[in-house]
Amino acid sequence: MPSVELKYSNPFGNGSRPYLTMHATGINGTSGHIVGLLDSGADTTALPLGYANLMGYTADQLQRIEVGTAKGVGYGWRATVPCVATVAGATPPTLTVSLLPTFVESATALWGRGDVMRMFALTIEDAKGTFTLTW
Amino acid sequence: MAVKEIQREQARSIPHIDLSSYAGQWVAIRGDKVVASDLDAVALRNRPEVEETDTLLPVPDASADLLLL
Repeated sequence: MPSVELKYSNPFGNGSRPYLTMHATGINGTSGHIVGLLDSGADTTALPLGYANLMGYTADQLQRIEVGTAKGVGYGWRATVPCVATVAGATPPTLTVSLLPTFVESATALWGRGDVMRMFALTIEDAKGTFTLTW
Repeated sequence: MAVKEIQREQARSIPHIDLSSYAGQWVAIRGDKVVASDLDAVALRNRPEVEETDTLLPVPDASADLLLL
């Protein structure tokens, strides 16, 4: 099985973590890179709210849901129409997933266990500062 | 050589510049340079200096030593 080892990175100056860049295409056809954190504690992918507008979602394509976080219960807006995302550098359909992201008032994108992480097996070696995707 | 391409693109796409002065804003990044910033994602995308291939991302507050999400 192919695999790729990637290094932790520190894009925001607050610590090295397993950040992964995905190339996402919104329902309006616009596409771009999204830098997010691999979060096995996130049931599904959560994106900062601003991406909803960039990806072309309108209010009738979003469902308000309760979201549990370390800070308590808040609200998010879950997409009812899927977008598509590919691990940056991969050639679709390899490492490509259809997503129903939840948009939240956070500045950190989280790649979730129940969607993005179904594309690959994830091995985290925190002591080495690396993580490996195997698919 | 998909593996090499993934490693190369992942390394290229992660910002390697100090973004702390943009905390709370959206930035457009091209290479290792911030080409524009704005409080609103769509307003940023619509700025004339921003190109389609620029990476748009919000900059979190970097003051937290421990991230619990």
